[in-house]
Amino acid sequence: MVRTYDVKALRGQFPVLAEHMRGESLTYFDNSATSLKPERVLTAIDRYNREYSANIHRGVYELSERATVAYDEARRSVKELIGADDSVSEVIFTRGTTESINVVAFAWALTVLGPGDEIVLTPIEHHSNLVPWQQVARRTGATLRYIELDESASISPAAIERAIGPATRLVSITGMSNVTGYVPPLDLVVERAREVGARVLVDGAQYVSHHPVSVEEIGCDFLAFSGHKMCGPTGIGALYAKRELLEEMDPYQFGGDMIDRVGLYETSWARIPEKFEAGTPNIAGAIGMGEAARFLMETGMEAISRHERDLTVYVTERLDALPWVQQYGGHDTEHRAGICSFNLTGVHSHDVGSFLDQKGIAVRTGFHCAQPLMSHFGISGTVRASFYLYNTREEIDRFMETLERVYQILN
Amino acid sequence: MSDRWEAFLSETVRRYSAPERDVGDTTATTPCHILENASCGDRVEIYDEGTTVRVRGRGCSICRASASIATEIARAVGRDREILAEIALAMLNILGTGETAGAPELPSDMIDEDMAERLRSFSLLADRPGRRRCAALTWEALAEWARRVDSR
Repeated sequence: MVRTYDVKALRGQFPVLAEHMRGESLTYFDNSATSLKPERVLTAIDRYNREYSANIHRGVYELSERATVAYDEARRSVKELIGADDSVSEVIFTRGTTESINVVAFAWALTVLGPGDEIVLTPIEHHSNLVPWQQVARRTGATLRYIELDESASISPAAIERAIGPATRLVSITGMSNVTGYVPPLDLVVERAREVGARVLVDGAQYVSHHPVSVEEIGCDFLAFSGHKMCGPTGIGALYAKRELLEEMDPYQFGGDMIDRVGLYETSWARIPEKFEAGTPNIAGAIGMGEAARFLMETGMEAISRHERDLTVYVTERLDALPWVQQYGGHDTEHRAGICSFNLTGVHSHDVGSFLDQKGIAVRTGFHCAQPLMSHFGISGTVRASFYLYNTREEIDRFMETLERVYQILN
Repeated sequence: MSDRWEAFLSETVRRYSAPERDVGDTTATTPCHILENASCGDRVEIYDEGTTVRVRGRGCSICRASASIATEIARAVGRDREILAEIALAMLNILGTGETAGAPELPSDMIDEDMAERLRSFSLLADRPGRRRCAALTWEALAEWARRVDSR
């Protein structure tokens, strides 16, 4: 059965879209910062808090068992979303992508890396996939290496070949740039990393919410992502990792729930995944993230990806037609998704953002937690419009009309 | 667009950020104080010229307008670090609280009512935390400069 993509029906599921901002109907183009939440996710969180708000694990009464079942079910749904195979991998709930990366940095990298080892990154990374590695390098004596970018901030096979070598122990790379929407060739990165015996971490903060994902096909060792970028709540995220790695890693935090047997002087750890989830977790958040994963799977990640691609091509062509618009990240929409970053000649990005806001259009402006990429482009910031499953061409038309007015007034 | 915001943009920001309001050639001079907002690239430079100070804003229109206004005020009051510090603190208070009534007084013998009104119009940025610092950067820089001069 071929399902049609009914964007109008989808929009009806997002209460925020009925809101008005500055007296205008809301056009939400800041989805790379955070996505909106559908009613069913809000209901799932609310039901936990209202109807079975107990702590998970070890409670022998129905309320706690219901919470435990819902929490475990959420983990299963998140695994299903990314195609994780239970027998060889696991998903740990964290506070978000940043914490997921920090788990790998501090529980894995600090213990296995040393002087002479190399961590390979790219200059397009979000600060959250850059700063932790600077700290790891400082503490272990490992060296940071970067895959070179071309002018449009894309990565060539030759650049991958040059950067990943015999000393590489880890490649940590975004699955999709939060600034340009560029999707790097993960297959080539993983293939090259395998050749030299390096591990691969994919920062999936943007990628997971916009593409069908199969971690088994990607072949990465770690995948970090956030609930709030994929229609779930803030404060919850996940780390996918190969089971063999999680087994050899020490816990990231210590306390309740992550223990097996505790003595006065020694403690043994719980099994995976509890070993990495010390303390009472964000139960409501996990349940919300699980519901968001089910919502995305029912909507269809292929369909979402196609819809966003259509919007990306449309907005890129419209912006290309304006000589006073400078786009970043190239015009190749084949390897980009859901994001366009640009500046208007002679107008600061904040001024554009404030003007759009007056028309109820929410975009992000500034450096987008990617200062090295801004340096690559030689700018201090951009206007970024980022789309999701509920955005429409009509919204882009309104956005374009407003941009023309902005340029007339502010230039 | 709200009338108040539109009036602020057209009557204050556009007017004072326009190229003709530029503080003039400063290429041969070194700024004595610089303050930057790394999150957006805004930058304010203070030029101490003995009898007056010039303030150059680089970046968004609100930053440039704010700096241009500061230069105009400094031209009127001269290089009086106490007065300039007082005005800077008054502006930071207005930007922080949105209150104009309880703010330190702008010296009325040196700032005419038109300019005072213009300065007060910045109060609407108190409710816009994303843009507040664009204007505040100038006054923070001026206050820092005054403190540095004071401590010498």
